[in-house]
Amino acid sequence: MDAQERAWLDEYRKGSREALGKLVEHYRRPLYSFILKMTEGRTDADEVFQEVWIRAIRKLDAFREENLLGWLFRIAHNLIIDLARRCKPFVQPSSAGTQTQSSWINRVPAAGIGPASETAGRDLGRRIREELVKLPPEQREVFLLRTEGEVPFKEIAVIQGVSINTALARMHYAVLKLREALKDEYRACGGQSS
Amino acid sequence: MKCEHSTQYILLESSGELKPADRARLDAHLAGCPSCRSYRAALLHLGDEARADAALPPPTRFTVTSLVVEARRREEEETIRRHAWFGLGHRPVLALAAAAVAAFAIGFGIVVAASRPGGPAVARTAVPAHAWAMDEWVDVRMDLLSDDLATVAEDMKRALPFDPQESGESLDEIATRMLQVEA
Repeated sequence: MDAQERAWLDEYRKGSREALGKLVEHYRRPLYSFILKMTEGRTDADEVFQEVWIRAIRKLDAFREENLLGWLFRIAHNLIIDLARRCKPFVQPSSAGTQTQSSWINRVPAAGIGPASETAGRDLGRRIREELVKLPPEQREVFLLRTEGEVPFKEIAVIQGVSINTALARMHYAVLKLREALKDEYRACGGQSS
Repeated sequence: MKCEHSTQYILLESSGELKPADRARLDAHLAGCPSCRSYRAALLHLGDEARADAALPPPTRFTVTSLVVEARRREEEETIRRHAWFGLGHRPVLALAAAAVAAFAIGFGIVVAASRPGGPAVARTAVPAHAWAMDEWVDVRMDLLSDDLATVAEDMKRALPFDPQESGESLDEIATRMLQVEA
């Protein structure tokens, strides 16, 4: 947490809602993006986002950790898991056997990222998003925590309840798979792929 | 350094967690390994592109005020629930505590009894009780036998024209005399 974020947090603790608004806005993009991509657009990301902040606000006075965004991601991670568990009865049989690794997030029912968001944005960004959906959820989460939230591996390990080596391995496999899947786009963008 | 270690270092470097001591080792490896250089470039590129993906719609259905109001509302609800629980003069808490203490005491007693050298308390009291019952049974039988002997003696007194205990005769003589009486 940088000095500005700490200052906003302190101001909010003194009663400034405006400071809280700045914090929410400051973390909006990485947090919302993480939620949306983790849930694959299958659930109402707005609701999860809102719930993360409501839970966070109730504990903000007692928050003593260094990384507020990492903490928000941890809340989001737990909420998404809860949501997936609650939605278990709606698991579609066709999707049950397609994942080789544990696929709790795939229990969340819905129709995938909507056409509007698919047509928007740059090509490579869209392709990354498409390929992310194909990753095992654990690998996808590590990738998103790193890229969207810039959460350190040490904290990712805490969030996922694994060792830092496991978190590193998950990121490594995510990068390898994305790199392989996007090698054509890479060449088009001038990137190296070997 | 092997490439598998190098990729770990590259990942740690990207998150700012690479130790300064390992930096030189990584740089030395990268200088001679095009594969790891390519991996590092891909990692940076993927991260940049994923972050730059601006196609995501922003959250729309909330305001900061509504967040704070909702958070406070839930906090108040929780406070009311807590007061409802403790507002009963702590009786539910005390009852639970008493039940827990009782359960612990019973459990502790069973454990202590079972861990005695002579075995559980139940087994130890069963043997003396049984022995006592045996003694009682023998006593009762002896009493009955004594009664029987007394009855026999009375019967003999009534049946015989003399008192065998006072006659001073031997058993043979008494038996002979009894046979004579019967005859």
